[in-house]
Amino acid sequence: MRPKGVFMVLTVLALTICTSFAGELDLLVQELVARGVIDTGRAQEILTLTEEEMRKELVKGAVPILPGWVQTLGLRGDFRFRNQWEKAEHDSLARLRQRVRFRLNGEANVSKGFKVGFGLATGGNDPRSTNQTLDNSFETKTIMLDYAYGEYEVYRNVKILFGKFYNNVGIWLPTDYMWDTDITLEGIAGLLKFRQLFLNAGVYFMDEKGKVKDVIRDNPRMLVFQPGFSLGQEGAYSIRSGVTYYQFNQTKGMAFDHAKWSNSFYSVGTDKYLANGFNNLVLAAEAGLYDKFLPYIGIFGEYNVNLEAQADTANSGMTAGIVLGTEKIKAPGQWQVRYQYRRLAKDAWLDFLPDADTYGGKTDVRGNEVSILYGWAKNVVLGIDYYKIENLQGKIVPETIWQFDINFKF
Amino acid sequence: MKATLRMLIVSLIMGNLLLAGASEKIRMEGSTTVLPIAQMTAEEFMNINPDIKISVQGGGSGVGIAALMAGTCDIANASRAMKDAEIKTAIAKGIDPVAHLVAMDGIAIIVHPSNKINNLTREAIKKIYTGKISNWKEVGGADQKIVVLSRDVASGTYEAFNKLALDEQKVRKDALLNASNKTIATAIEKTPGGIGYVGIGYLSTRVKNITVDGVKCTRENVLSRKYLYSRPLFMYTNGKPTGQVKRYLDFLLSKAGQQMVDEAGYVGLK
Repeated sequence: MRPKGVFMVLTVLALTICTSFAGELDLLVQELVARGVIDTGRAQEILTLTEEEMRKELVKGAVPILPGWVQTLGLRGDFRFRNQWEKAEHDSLARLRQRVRFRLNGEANVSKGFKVGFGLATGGNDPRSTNQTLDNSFETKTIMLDYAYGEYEVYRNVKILFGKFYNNVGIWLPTDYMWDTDITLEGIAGLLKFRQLFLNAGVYFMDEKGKVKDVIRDNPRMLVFQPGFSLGQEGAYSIRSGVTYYQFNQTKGMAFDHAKWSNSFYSVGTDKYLANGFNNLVLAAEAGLYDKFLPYIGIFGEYNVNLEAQADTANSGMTAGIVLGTEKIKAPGQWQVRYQYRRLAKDAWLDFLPDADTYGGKTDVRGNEVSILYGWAKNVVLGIDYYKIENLQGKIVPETIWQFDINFKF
Repeated sequence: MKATLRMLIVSLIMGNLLLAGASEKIRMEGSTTVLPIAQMTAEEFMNINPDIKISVQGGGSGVGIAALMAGTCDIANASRAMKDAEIKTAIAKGIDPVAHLVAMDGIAIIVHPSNKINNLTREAIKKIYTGKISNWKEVGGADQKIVVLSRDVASGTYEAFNKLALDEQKVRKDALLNASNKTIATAIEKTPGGIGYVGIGYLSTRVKNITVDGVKCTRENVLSRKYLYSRPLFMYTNGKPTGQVKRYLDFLLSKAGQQMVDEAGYVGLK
């Protein structure tokens, strides 16, 4: 290109970058091509590199104003508004309440291989709920520390977590049949993956009894050992299965906070104590098929038995279900329908751990749940959840719950 | 003491001599799509400048960009622009990524020469490749099953086609996956109901290059990006290039270098 042409291009370009929008630059470059000042290749070079340079400058502008530690911090969260109606059969009274849930989750890289995660959430000290009911004359609501943990990545697929973290981080859980999804475990977990195999193990501290004779035996602990495998072909199918063994060192004779007393218990005066111990074995599996009739068709199931329960007590449970539609709602128009049946006998599992929406989170229950999700906009999901759950023993009193949700993720 | 001093001086002199005689090395890493351009031009550049050694490695655009950030390469090859997050990370690490447009790439849609279809809309191509259209009569052609050929998922061309043509939707399950542009072109030559996509350098009279939304995959249309399935190919340096890296990039962007880009099957800028 002639020097005069180069000068002309640079002058016009400099002025353009300062004063015009990208579209105007595009028009200008096209005009220069039409007049034969530059060729198409040079025009493309100018447009592409200008765009790249402007993008870099925009990012650059954002970076220096942030301190170093902020640059390693990622934040995400969600907000949910829920309208919940519930009623027990034969009861003339029903309940309608509006609830909100707000969660803010952060993750910060400390140094190579080390990071810290934390979450703040609405709710009180109930481990099974981060909802806040809208009540009490517009009173302000509490924000609690939902979880906080340190993570050490020993190798690429070997991690150790310390602290308080979501139950599905430390244990693979295909459903909320045994663990309410709001519960955050407290303890130390080791997570290992090797090709299609995985192994989750952990020790979790359920309570601290103060001064005791034997600090190991007398403080309730939960040991978890979960080997499993995961098979699949991207976009075609996925299969995952695992066996979980839960060993509790101290449950019989305990009075746990948040217990619902639907497990067998004995009383001393007005105080209640668990009549059975708990050591559980769980078999779980889920399988999914992609892009056959529907974007996703999945089935799942779990079988659980309490090995410590007395022979004559109801000590087992199961759940099974199906998912149709989209596996995870990400875009507008996507939908999912999910059905789940569950049956959890009286002493099959500790009664302060299962999904809190199923008969108040008690054991000794069975019933059905149907949920429908619909992507309204990007990161905005509408949901309807229907529960019909009843008790297994005594006078049967079915309970119905309808939940209408709108979820925002950010 | 004297002996030690003498040895030290001799070592220093020998060290300097060795350094003076050593060749300079440029390390390139990244996109497998840009790899042929990098290899061809690097070989020619080393022929002209025997004192300069260039090592070229693939690995993918992300790998090259990560290597540039880690300071383990001088030039990162990329078949896409750096993502905002990558630019942010680079800047936080004190790296100033500077983009150099080295070529354009055009992905042509080809069919068997006997096929009477001359044009397909972008929407129709998307439907064919995602399994919603399976017969040529649905797009105005003969009553014949469409045999869909695609590159395998590991290829950069697949990634680009998937993004530019399919809006990142999955290619239909019954598509026949091929390991190279050449095998697709050869298969289309022999398959009357076939449709495939290849880099512009693989077009020949033995296959029919159809237009997309009325625009043909030609050198000029790719350069102007009028053709929908066009994309820029980059090399990134840390800061403005200097020394031998600058000499190499100047060579690559010269008329001779850009001719080699054309020979490699891409669209040179000159």
